[in-house]
Amino acid sequence: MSTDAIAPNLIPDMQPAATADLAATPFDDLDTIVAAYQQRIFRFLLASLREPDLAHTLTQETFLRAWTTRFAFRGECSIPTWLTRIALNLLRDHTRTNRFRFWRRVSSQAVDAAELAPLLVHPDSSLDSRLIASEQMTLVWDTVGTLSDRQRTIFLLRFVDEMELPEIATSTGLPLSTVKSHLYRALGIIRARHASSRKLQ
Amino acid sequence: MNQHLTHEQLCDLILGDPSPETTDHLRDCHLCAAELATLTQSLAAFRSATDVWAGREWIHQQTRTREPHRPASSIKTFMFPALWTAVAALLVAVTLPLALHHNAPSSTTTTAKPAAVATQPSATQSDEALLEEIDQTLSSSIPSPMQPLNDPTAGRHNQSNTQRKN
Repeated sequence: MSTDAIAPNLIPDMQPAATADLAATPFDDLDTIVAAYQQRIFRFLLASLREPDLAHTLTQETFLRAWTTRFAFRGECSIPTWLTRIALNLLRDHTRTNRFRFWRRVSSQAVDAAELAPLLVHPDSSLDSRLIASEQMTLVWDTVGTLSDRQRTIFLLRFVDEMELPEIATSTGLPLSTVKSHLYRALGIIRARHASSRKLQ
Repeated sequence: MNQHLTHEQLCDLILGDPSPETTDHLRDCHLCAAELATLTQSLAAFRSATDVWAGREWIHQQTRTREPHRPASSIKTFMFPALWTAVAALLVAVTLPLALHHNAPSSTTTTAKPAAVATQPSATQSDEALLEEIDQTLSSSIPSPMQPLNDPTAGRHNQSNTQRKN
């Protein structure tokens, strides 16, 4: 994968004269950064928005912003954490400014869990286990849709991106204890849904 | 048997930060172990589905982006002015013939106007005459058919005058 994937015409031309004085950053080699993290950022944004086109646009904007603000990166956190922070800011800005349009569009184009069920990879492909996995996935999918914005973000960073809790705290700018309590609550809701589905069965 | 794991203890297990006692408890308590297994499997299934979906969508987006070789955002920014220009052009194209069509019959009415104007003076004259007549009839206190009764001697005066003449 190369920077072609993130629209080369969006990346401003480097001006050697202007940037010569400034220190080199890891983002100077944008090809490598994009190749390493673009798909990951896209996955997080897609899981958050559940809309591929929008997730793709925001992924491009994430790397564009990473490029334009590269001199602000001081290496205090890892590159994926920095990129996630940028993606989170863009996500928040987008849902804030276009909240009404966003939810209308999301509700009209929302991906149904049933559409994702066939995508489940099963090492054991017995019908029973496939059905159980599909039900479990649907339950979590539906529950994630009902979480608050912050809970959903933290949940996805942990259970989709598999970020460590301190990384999530850095990305979101929240204290570690707050991150933990959000995860406890989100998991509590999922447990409750599990319990109620068991009762129905 | 000890009490079951609390929600926080179970969450710590899922988050990979268990205390030694929770691990010990899990070894002995099948109920908590089953609960943990269900939750872990659900989360794994969710992650797996999201991962595969994102992978597919990513490939789909890449093929779509490479075809026109233009990012979605720049397409949008380009498309909006173009769209509005097209709408404006369409409006002009629709309204212009309509406006021209409206103007064409109005020229015939303007040519007809002088005739209408020419007929106006006679009409106003007749109106004035009619009004004058009405005024006269109203101003006279006695209606014209009753006029001979107003002055009964008028007829005699006339008669005596004719007699004198004779």
